[in-house]
Amino acid sequence: MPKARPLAALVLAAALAPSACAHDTVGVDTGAEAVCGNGKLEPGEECDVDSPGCVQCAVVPDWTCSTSTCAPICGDGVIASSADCSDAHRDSACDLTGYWAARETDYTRDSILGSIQTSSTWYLYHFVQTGDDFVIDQDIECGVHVTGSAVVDSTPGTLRGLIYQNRMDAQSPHGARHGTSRPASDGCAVRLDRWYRVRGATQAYLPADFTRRPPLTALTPLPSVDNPVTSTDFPAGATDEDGDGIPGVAFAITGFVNGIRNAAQRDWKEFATPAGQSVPAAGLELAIQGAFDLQENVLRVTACGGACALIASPANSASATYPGRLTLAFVGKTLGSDRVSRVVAGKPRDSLDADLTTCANVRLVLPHDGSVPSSPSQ
Amino acid sequence: MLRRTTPALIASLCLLASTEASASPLVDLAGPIGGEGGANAVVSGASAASAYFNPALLVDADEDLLVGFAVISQQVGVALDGRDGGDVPDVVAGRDILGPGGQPISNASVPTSWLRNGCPGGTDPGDCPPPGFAARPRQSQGSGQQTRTYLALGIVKHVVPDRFSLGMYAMLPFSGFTTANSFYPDEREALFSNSLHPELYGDRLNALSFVFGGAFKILPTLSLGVGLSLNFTNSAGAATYVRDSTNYDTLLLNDAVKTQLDVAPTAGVRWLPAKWLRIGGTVHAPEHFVVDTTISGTLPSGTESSTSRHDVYDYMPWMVRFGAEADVAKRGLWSMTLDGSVNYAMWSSYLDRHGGSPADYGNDLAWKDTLSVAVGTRQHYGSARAWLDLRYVPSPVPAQVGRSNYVDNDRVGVVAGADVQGTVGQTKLRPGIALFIDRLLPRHVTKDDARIVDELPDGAIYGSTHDPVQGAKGLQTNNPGWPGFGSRGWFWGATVTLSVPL
Repeated sequence: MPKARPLAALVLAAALAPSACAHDTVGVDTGAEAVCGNGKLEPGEECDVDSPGCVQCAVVPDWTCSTSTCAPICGDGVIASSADCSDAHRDSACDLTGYWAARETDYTRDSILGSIQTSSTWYLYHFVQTGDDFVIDQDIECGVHVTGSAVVDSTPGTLRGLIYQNRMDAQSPHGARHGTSRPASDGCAVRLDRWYRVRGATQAYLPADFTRRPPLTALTPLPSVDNPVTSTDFPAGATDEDGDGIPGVAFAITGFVNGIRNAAQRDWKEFATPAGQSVPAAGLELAIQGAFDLQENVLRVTACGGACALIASPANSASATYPGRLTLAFVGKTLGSDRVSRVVAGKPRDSLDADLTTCANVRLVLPHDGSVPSSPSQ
Repeated sequence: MLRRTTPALIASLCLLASTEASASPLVDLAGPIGGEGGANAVVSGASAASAYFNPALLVDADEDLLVGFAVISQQVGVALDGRDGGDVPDVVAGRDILGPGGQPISNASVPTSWLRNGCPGGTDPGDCPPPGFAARPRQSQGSGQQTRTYLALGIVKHVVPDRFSLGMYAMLPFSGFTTANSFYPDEREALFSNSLHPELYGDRLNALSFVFGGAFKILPTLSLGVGLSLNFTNSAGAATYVRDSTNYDTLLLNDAVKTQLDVAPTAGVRWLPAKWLRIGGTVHAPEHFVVDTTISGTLPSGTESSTSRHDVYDYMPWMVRFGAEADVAKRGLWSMTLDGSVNYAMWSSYLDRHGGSPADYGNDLAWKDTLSVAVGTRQHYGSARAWLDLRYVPSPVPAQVGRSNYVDNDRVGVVAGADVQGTVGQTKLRPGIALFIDRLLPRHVTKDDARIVDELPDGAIYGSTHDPVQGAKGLQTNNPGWPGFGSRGWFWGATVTLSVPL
């Protein structure tokens, strides 16, 4: 037995030997770059504040920011979101004549998880009002941004391809889009007529007469393919406004799934203040309740890895329970004035580059609001 | 005796085959437990362990039962270089970023600050949806320091004395029979442990290991042997119904698991060209432990999708061993031999734990075949034996200048041991002890930034505004191995054995 002791001692010593004769170590981090969103103003950042006046750590035009808060600059005639500028004004209580930044907020229900998606579509409008009636005199479409279970954006090509589509001015084959704005009990009752739009397919898929207000289901079905995951078809009637060589307009999807969805879409929207309600007279930012319907045929999905089947699932309107709204922010009346020039870079449709700049400004004036009403019909 | 031992052998086989097993990584790293094989077991130290190292030697082994206890430790330190910028900014968390061409950027990117500090779940600005994102500081979950204990069992039976022998050799970890941990060797690992792990140790040292061998002496000077290492192939299917992707407590899931037995052969030869010279050689077929997983999901919308994963553990490549042992001195009860061996391992075919080839990261990052060498001596005095070997085992892993972070080092080491035969009552016993210690030679690599995945591409734009993302220029990465790393350490073990004649 004595012979066993050295062996046992050796094994025991080995088993109990310090297990830390080699350590993991991490060197000291140096030169960390500014981190946008951490609430600290760091080199290279104009601001780092949770405020609509601070977007991506850059101060939104016509806002001013400190290290803790941002506020709109009043008195220069430019209307910023949430602005409370006593000296900004419109000519008359319910006359909407002038340039307006517009954001349409719609709610859809994705067909994957059934969750509500919040969509913003931006426009620049120039209204001309006579009496209680107004028409859209100039317009450009400034793209879409959707949040929810996934994030959807128009690609740069789609933004360029759609900016002049579905025009609503007098040059439209359907005539100019009309609306009314008339005095109501304690403000103005505003209505904007139903308008149909199509993307990724020819204008032939729109109704001939918008005033007849046909449901989308009564129209000629949109171009479609059997399987957007495997299809290489370019179905008749489809268009390629974004110029990517694939039928339909392209939307980039990120978040729950990633990929590019090319689709043909058709929708209608109309807006009106509900009976008995009104928007503030001479208001600088107006919110008008809306309704809409949407059809979408997915024509191709790409860059989707293993999630192509999910990307290929279209969204459906949730308008019946989650009404949309049109938010209008008054930009000014006269093109070329200091006030208007800060948003509108040039006369709409004269220069694509200028209009893209205008669109970027419009999206800053009315940033995307991804909130979802806590309960339907709120 | 045959009646007693053969059922025991079969019983052992059945017992050990009832769970995952993969012989080689552990057995190969630990070396033979029992006998004087040391680092030259392809030609020396006939014992039950020869079933793996050269089954042709079994016919020369003592007919006995081996019981051993082993302690094996890996102490591999990984040192990550400090980061000089390169952080992925918090804005990526909003998933509102497109590449310059409008393509979505990878969902695999998270803010670097989340990895450092986590992201609380809540409703305040900047919070993540509950339950939040747990912090994963760099290298906080390294796996390079582990010490494990094992039971070794072996049996050698001469079915036809001096003609045909059978042997079985097994190593059983005391703490769990099998561990299989996968990790990504690139930036994707930031989402899990955010750490680097030694590639050829770790879970490879925790596997139930079983080898069965047979030897035939076809000529007085020539023996042939065949060994079989058990491998298991597992397939698992998981069919899920995803009621709520934000709450996996509501997930409905059905499993379907299947395990299949596979064997990897080893062929061995022993040749005695002269009375004073012995030659041995083996060829080991590749071995690995496979887990194929298919996950299929059904969503409330009726959308169905599925994906498959092919995981590979304990990969051992084709190996060719060759060795020679020569008697160089003999005086009375004392004698001495000199031993030498080489091992050519075809690591260029290596598959990592996710079934990927290192060559996928670039031809210059493909693993290399290696040639290991060992030299040593054996000293005998009567029934006492002692052995001492030196070995050099080069790493197959090239400098990890690109995306991949395979951690491995060249090894130099020494193996020493002794045993002696004694008698207790009527029973002859051979207790023994052995030690090995390997130094993992220090190495360091600095990454080539151009070969690291830029997780926020230059020219990235916000999807909501199409404005440029500030700070996108330059490299942003969460690759835990960036901007460089080093590794070094020790690998050692100690064993005590007892051999009892059958």
